[in-house]
Amino acid sequence: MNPIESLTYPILAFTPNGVMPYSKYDNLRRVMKHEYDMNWFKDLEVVDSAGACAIIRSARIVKQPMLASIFGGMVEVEIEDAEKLCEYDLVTTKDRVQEFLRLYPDGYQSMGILDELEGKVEKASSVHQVVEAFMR
Amino acid sequence: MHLDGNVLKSGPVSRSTGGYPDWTNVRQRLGSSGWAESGQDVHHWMIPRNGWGKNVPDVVKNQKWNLMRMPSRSEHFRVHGWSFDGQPGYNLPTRLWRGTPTPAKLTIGGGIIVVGAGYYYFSE
Repeated sequence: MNPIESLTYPILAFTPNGVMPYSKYDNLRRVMKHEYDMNWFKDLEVVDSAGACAIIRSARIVKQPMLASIFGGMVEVEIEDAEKLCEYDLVTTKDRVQEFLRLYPDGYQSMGILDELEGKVEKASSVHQVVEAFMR
Repeated sequence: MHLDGNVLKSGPVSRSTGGYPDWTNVRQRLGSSGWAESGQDVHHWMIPRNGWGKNVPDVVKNQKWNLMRMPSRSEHFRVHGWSFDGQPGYNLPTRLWRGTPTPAKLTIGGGIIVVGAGYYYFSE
């Protein structure tokens, strides 16, 4: 079992699309082909509902629909290299999430929910609530 | 924490420009009027907020005719073509279908039928 599998789900992942929630391990392993090609799984930091922080160094595609590279579609990956880094407390988690939202605001901004998400993160009284703010 | 002028304030930096048509203010009014639930995602279906829509003034694109209430965040992400929690983003035809409100679909569909019927009638 790799360290990512043993995290407390749901988790947040700091992806090239911004902060993304994942309700279970199997879901984290499925992304669009074009997202995988954005180096999605290269040094992908994740923080779980209990504040454990881990990093995925690399992952390789194990399942890919035919012509996914032309027409898009989901690919399934196997995490090759990952390690647990640290335990975040609530304040550190909030800071990290807000910092990332500031760095990559486009997705949530275009959906019109960035301000609301920032507000929910600010008000959260536990790491689990921070993660839940993104799940809805 | 952030500086607002010379005052240190708690909470995230507000991106609102403060104007009546600003999205933050519009979204608050939509919530208080009951048009959208608190926390519900609202999709700009015709003119996006970002991308090419950045050139369109708020007063035009933040009107109800351009807004669509989304049933879930997952649906909203997928309509934008992104995956969400292991579910795939939609392909373009599905994005257009699922990201367009029913009245707009009926109007566009009706328009196509009328134009088609007119063409058929006058070309006889």
